[in-house]
Amino acid sequence: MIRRGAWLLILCTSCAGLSACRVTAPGRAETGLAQWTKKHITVKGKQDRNPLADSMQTRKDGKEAFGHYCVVCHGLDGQNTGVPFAANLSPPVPSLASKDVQGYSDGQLKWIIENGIAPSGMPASREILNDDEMWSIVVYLRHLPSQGSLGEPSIYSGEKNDEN
Amino acid sequence: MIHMKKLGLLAAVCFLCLGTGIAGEEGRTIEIHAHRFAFNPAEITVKKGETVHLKLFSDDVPHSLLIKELGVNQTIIKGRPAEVTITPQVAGDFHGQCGHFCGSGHGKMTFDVHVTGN
Repeated sequence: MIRRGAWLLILCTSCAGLSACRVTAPGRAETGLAQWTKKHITVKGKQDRNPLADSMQTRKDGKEAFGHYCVVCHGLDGQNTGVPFAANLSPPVPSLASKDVQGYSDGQLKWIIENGIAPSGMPASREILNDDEMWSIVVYLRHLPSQGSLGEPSIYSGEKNDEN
Repeated sequence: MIHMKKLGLLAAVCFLCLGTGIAGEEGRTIEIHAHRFAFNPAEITVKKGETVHLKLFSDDVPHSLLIKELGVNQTIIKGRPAEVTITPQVAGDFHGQCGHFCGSGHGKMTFDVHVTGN
């Protein structure tokens, strides 16, 4: 009973210590562990298949849906171009063209878009985007343009719009 | 007196035609209002083979009505009512949604067409 109480105290102290910490970049071990956990345990939908065909129209639809608000954190190209805080979040905003992200199945990517990832800055898009839009974004993610080719989101560049 | 009767008859016909369903020569007209974040009504029931005109209004920001299986994809701008006509040939439930991003509840803005058999 006393041992149980001690463990509980340690756990509570650890949780209190972790909350409201200043933002620091996670270490390699933490990143690796988190990545493995997400890919193999917490992120569902691995077997889900994209009901949308991969076509030029779907890619265009996906790019448009991505442009509604994903660009604020991921940039127009999905590779954080022009996003001033991307590297300062903990964990940092990943490049969606990276091996880690592209290593998810289509179903997992859709699951992440729909449900978000905690603990991270990735929000859930359920009820904000509909299913077709989320799936079309998955198609766009598989065909991202080269880094920087679309410029910066207008909210950061001061340009009039994001019609690239 | 005859004019009064005619006017009365005309008024009665107009009164009957008002509302969401208007009986016309070429099928009903159903008025659908889109606003953040719902369609009103959010579902309609039509008969297989029935021609129905959907008169679309936006009460606020730009929306669209997208029902892929029925070939409907109509942008709706406030102050500019739009109309689409459907004549479903297959019974079943057809799911529609707002196809124009309109804000935080855009994804739950749905519209269903129930097509019943003859």
